[in-house]
Amino acid sequence: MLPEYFEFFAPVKIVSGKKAVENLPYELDQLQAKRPFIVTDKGIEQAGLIDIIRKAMDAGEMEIGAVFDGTPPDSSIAVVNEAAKIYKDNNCDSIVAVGGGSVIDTAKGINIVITEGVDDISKLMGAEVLKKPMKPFIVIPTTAGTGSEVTLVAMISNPEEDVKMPFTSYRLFPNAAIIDPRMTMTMPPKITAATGMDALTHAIEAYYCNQKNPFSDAYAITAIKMISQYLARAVKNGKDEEARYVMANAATIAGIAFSNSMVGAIHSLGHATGGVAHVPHGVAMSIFLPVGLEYNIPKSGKYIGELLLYFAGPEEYAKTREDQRPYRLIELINKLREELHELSGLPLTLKEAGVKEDQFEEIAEHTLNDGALMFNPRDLNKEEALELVKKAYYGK
Amino acid sequence: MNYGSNKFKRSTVKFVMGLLGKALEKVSTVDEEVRNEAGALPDGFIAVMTILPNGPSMRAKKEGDHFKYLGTSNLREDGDLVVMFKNLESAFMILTGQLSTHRAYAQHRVSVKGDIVKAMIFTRCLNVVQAYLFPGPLANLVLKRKLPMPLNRQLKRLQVFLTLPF
Ligand SMILES: NC(=O)c1ccc[n+]([C@@H]2O[C@H](COP(=O)([O-])OP(=O)(O)OC[C@H]3O[C@@H](n4cnc5c(N)ncnc54)[C@H](O)[C@@H]3O)[C@@H](O)[C@H]2O)c1
Ligand SMILES: [Fe+2]
Repeated sequence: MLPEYFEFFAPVKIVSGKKAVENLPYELDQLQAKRPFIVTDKGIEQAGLIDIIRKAMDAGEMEIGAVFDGTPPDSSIAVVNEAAKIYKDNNCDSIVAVGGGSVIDTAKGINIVITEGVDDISKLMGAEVLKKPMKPFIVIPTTAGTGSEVTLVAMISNPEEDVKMPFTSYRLFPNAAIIDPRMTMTMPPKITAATGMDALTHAIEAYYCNQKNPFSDAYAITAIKMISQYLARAVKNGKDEEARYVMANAATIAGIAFSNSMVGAIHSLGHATGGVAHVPHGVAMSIFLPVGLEYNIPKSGKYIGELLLYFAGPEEYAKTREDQRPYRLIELINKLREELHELSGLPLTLKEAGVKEDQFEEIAEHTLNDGALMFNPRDLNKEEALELVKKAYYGK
Repeated sequence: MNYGSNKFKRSTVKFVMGLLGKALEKVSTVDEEVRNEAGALPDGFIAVMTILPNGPSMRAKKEGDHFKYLGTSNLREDGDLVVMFKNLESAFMILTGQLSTHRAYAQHRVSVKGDIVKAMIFTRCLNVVQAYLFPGPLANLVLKRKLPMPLNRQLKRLQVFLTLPF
């Protein structure tokens, strides 16, 4: 029932609900911050979301140090270094990330550079290298996906080597995450679908990967229930406030689950595909989820089967034979993927996502070097990774 | 109070780390898989295994196409990649084969400093080394999967065993 030993850590304050962003000045003040540096990207600025922040800051009579909207997809080390300079030039004293995973991870990167006083972040890559306490850091997610607002990792791409570099440290946890349904309302359907599938993958992998424990299970189960009921609704009608609100919280809950129990092979394959072929993270997750689940059935079929209860409800669970439950779960996940494909054009195969056959080898190689693989219950070698990539490419 | 068992554990883990280091050097010169893996690491790359807070430690260096064992010490050492056992008891359980590497990671009993990609490569090398060192049933317990042991690898294994004491 219980692992013989486990750890659980969830240190981020959650501020969630209607008009939650209005609390930003208060939360900054609690951290003794006075001039925040706002990190975002052009899409979010254009969607009018930074105006919501500006208005809240004005009401709280607090000045914004500077707004940086140059975050590219997947972040990048050059941009982190550039943004850190702007932070210093404007005498900022704290960081507020307003955006999806790319923005949040860029903001984490900026925090590293500022705190450690280096000019180039690549000098600090890896785990446990960071020693100093970081600047006050608040995250306002605008996608419902990565959970990066509650994790200790930043994935920052190094375009020269086609890899995404992970930075991990307990110091990277934000101080607070502000979840406000207004902030995800403007997300286009395809991004809603992709990021929602990322969140679902976090919750599902968290339920069977190696650091699984009763605390992370509770979070994983809660998130799976919420996502299975509300993701398609949020994609179908972006103005459905209830669906947006549930999905935004589910993504954060799934984030807490996976940052404790870790993710596995599905994420390794996805990180590799993102690095090599620039497939957006959520799209890659949606494609690899059924493939990776099937691969893990021999070792983790029991746990995967249990998830049918939370994904599909007690009736479906009771009428499915125990040994069939993991397969039934995969079937229903595929049904959801097809529905999202119809609604938003979310790609179903790597082929549709623009991956080329001559990239298979490199993707398989990068998969083996991805840290998440360490936490996958079933071992994966290069030939097996290649097989999974092919399955995800041809869709069978 | 004199905690004699700590003294015993300290010398045991130091001894086993030394054995692993020597075996890493030997295996990386004869086994193609390890040589290929090592090839991906930069020359002069230093990998360290250490027990917190103050050692003992084992160091190895990538040189040419293989690893060179640099010895053990009673201090806490630094390197490009540092595998840190959080406490003596954890190190003892892992190094005496009572706890597998992947479960040790799952149980947060080790912490790694350095580039994750290189940590993955180094871990795969150590997996092969463990498969060489440990008799079949124990290797099966310690590793996530059995390492293929065709005849030529069996012979290399014998070679490693015969030269290990030197
Ligand atoms: N650190 C972690 O724990 C973690 C976990 C998973 C993924 N990630 C990383 O996160 C990144 C992906 O993040 P993502 O999936 O959130 O996408 P993203 O941040 O790349 O955003 C995708 C696009 O959506 C737009 N957008 C976002 N929110 C919007 C809104 N509310 N209205 C209109 N447009 C909006 C953005 O402008 C952008 O063009 C990847 O780099 C991945 O590696 C990190
Ligand atoms: Fe993810």
